[in-house]
Amino acid sequence: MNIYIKAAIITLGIFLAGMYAIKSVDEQRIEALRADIDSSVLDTEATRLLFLYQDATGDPNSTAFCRALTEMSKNQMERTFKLATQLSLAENNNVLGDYEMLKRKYYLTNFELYIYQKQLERSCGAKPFEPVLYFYSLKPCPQCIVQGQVLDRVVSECPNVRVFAFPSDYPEPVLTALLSRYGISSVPTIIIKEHFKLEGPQEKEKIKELAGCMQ
Amino acid sequence: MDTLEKAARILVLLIALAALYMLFNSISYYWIFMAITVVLLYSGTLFIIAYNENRKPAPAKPEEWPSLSVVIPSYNSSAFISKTLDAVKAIKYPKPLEIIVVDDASTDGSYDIAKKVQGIKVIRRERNGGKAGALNVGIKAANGEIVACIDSDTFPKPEVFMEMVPHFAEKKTAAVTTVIMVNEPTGILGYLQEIEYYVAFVFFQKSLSLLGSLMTTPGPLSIYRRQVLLDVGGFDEDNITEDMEIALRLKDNGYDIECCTTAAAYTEVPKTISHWLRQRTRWYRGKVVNGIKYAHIFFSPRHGGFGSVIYPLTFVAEFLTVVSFSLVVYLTFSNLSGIAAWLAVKELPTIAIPTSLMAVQSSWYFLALTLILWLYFIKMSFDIYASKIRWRHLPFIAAFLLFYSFLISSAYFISYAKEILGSKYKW
Repeated sequence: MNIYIKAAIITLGIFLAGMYAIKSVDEQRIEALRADIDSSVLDTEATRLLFLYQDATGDPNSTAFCRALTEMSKNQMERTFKLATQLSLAENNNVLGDYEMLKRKYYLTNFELYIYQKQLERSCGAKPFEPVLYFYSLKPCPQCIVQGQVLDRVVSECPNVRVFAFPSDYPEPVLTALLSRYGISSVPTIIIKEHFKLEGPQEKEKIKELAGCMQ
Repeated sequence: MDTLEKAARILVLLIALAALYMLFNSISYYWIFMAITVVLLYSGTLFIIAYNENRKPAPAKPEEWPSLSVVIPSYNSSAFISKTLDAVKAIKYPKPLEIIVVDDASTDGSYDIAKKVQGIKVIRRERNGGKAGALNVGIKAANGEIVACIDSDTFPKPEVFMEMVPHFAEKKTAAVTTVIMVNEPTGILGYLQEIEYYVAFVFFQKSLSLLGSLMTTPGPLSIYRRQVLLDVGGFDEDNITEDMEIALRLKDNGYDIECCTTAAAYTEVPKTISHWLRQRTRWYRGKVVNGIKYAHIFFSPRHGGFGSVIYPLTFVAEFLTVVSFSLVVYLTFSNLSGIAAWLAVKELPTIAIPTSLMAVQSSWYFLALTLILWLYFIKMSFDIYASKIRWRHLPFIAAFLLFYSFLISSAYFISYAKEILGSKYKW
């Protein structure tokens, strides 16, 4: 056989084998994420049920309800922020895998969690932690990576501060609504206590101070 | 060049850079690495198959050895010319060698050094006319059936001609090349080039010749049938890479070029980055210039696999090299804002060490494949030349794999940019 065609067939074979191997690694990554995200989805489902139950049967200001909600929030927050890092890691490392559905599930779950915090504050007057809103971009954004790592450190040093991270360029109506509410025009941007709007990478100490870190 | 042409050339370069920038913004960079891997894989597979299947046994020694003349163009070569002449005079050959030094109007006394040497002819050109011109003067003045063109800073081993001449067995063979090695490498750059020359002049050169695709008869040492050189018109005196040009011209006239791997010539190589860059810019621009001059080779039925696969492939590979260099520059600059951000927040980044398969970018596995392929090329080269890889080679092999390619791709980038801009050539 013509040597050029022979070499082309061998090259194609090796290349396809390589692509297959890469696809397998990518899928494994997605599977690992899927389990965690589905778990999160179920958690928010449980919280939603709690609200519905409360609405249907009892006094929305009951202490039992508020206590249950507070407990659930704390647990869910831990998991969600960890998921954010895992998701961005998968995004950077994945070449072939498709996880658009997974991403969407994650963003919506995260947003739902955020709404429950607001509801918790309104209905129970309880604030188990200080929420910090963090807006980043899905496009390559080295400053966002920096801000993300700084926020990681804030969270680990302040048990009463938790971060809600939202992408500024994902086409989801609730996210767009949130962006326009706070007038987010650049990334990274941080919103603390509803009225401190910090644009650009911020120092860890400044965030801790504005959020009222209790170490 | 008038200002209008200069302005147009600058515009072309800017458009090319803008196109690259838009490309990097729209596709993920791993596709570019994949493309490079595929080209490398294909070339490697081709070479390995060619080497294993097309190899012929060593040619028989001729009953009657042809007469041989050596032409050494010399320009300000006082540092090396006596050593070169000593090495040439020590070459073993059944017939007396005619040795001709063509001095290209040197100003550093190398003419006088050459004149004092016994048993050689020295021709003095009153006006400098370039290496190709000097070679042509020497070829016309020579009497041998075979003419060996040797650089004035190259030291052939004594067995070179007796190993190379038998490769002229076929009438179609017009030129024979050999292994070129780095002479007494010093410094990191020297040792990197040592590894590079092993791969380029042993495995790559031999494989290319087995595919009928050898496209350069190396300037340091190549031998030709003198009459054929005269028939095709001698070296191109306007070309900056006359060794590549003559090889393409010979092929274009239907001749073959063979490669001998049982002999070697040691040559001086650039010791500083700036000198190295000047040399490489000349080589790579020459490749482009000759590609344009010999564009009719592409897909020409006369040139078989060389014209339809290998010659075009070399340009594709070079283009991808330029793109990958631009990509590295682009990624570095786009990450600069990240570095600025770290400075702004007054913290140090946490470096994540990948602890599992999951944490590594998938396209890195292709990078691993290319490294393995290159390691194989290096091993093959040392084996073919019957040389052992020593401990001292290992760190430079690592540096060659990880770092030298970046240097080479920067040289290609600069060469292409200069060629677009039409900059003046510098030797």
